[in-house]
Amino acid sequence: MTRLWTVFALVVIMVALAAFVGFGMSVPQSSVGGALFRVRYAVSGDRSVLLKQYAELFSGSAPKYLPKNADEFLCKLFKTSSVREEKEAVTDFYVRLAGGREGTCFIGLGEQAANYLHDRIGAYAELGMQRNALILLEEVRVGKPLFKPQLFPVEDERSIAQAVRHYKKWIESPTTWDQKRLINPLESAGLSWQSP
Amino acid sequence: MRSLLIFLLGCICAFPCGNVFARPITPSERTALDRLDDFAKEVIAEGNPDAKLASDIHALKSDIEKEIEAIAVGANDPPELKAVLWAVQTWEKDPAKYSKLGDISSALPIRDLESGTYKCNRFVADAYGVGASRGFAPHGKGGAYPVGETKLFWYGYPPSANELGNTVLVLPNLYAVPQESSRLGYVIAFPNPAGIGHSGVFLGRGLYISARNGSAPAAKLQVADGVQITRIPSERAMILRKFAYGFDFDFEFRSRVSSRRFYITSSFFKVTLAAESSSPAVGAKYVVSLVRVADGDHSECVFEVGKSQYCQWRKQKPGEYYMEVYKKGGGPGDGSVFKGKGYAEIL
Repeated sequence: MTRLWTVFALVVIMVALAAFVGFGMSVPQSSVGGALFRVRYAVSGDRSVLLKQYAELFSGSAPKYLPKNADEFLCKLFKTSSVREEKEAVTDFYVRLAGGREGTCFIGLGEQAANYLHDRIGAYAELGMQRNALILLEEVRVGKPLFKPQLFPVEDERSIAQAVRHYKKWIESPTTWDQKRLINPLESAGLSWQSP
Repeated sequence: MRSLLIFLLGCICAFPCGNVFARPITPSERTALDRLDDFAKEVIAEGNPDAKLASDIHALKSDIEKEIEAIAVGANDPPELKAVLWAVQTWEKDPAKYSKLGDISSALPIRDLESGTYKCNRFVADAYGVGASRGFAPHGKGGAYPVGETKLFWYGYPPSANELGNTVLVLPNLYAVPQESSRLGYVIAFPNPAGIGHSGVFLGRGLYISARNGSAPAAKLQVADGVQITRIPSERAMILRKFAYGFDFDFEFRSRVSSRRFYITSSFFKVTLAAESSSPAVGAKYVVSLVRVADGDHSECVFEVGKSQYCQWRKQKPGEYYMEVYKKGGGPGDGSVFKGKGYAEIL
């Protein structure tokens, strides 16, 4: 009888685990999805690959946004990690989600996040990543998310390259972060961020 | 005789006093429309740099009133007007309902949305599904606002702003229309290939209403996160779609012409056509063929020139279709032009 109960308990645990994994994978924007990600992160061998795969779950037209628990976890990781590669991978993750799905935590990290974005922006060969890094940088500067931003009057390869130059110049300027935050890097570029 | 006198009296009175046969503006519509006046006043009070904004808001109010006045008592409001009235009343009464921070859960057959998600496409869907009473159904079946297929316990999402803004995409009951034929109440979408697009309901006068967050004119009156009335950004690509459970089309051809593509659910499709010929062609005939894009499967009906006729098909397989209209037996030597009008309905 005891053996039967053990088997029954094991089956229940297995079903609950399968439900947790299945739900977490299919609804990544849920808190269960966030919790599953934390478990996967803890046991993952290559965390930068996992972060890339995790970011891909939020792409596409369905409204999938980074859940709060995963956002807070990654933010804390960025703040506390002493491994540069890990911080870069977290930065890349937030860049991939920038433009509406990036949560709110990273935006509030201020100068440290801005410096990492500045360092990473040159490493992005893809135009979309450069654009997203600029959006995130601007959000970090103003301290709040931008609403579905696009570069005005035109967003193309040329204007993005121009904006990258202005943001780099801005962040490299020898002033304090608090002073820097008050300066609009695009002011002299004839560009601005526009929301629909 | 008595009813004739009442009719004539009505006609005389209609001239100076407005259309007495028009349906009255309801108290809740009046409250929402009057709120537009407050909005315009606030725009002036805050010193908005957009000099034309206040007058455009007043003109918008007048446009909506005229649309209502054009509807006879007992007649149904067109879906565009219903959508606009619902949108403006939501803006006036409960603008925070569609905020990014709020969540939307309902018993309606459309996916609920959690806090932290943009809800612009849900606002548009509700304008037609709830406001225009069209409901929601996968592929817009039965004339409903289209949503995705139900998966397990979850109803489908409505089309995203980027999908609404993609003219290549044939969306059931939502037809892309040229900007020249813009009309109050059409769906407006701003696609963003690199990110998240935006959608709303077109109001005319360079204005639209949508669920958005961020700065908006008349900050004291409009919520910072929720339903807002804002200017259509001048430099952004925009797409308009008309919600229609069928469509009009004009045709003119020497030998053959194809219609736009449209989506048919597993339901009846009816087309009514009337064609004239440029040369006397008593008894000349033409064929209307309904073609499925995926595999070219087609079914035909023969029509006679000079008559208004209809043909009805039942299509079991949902998908993208188009119509081909061509002359029956019209060889290369037949130079006459067939010209006409038609209306396609998905029943």
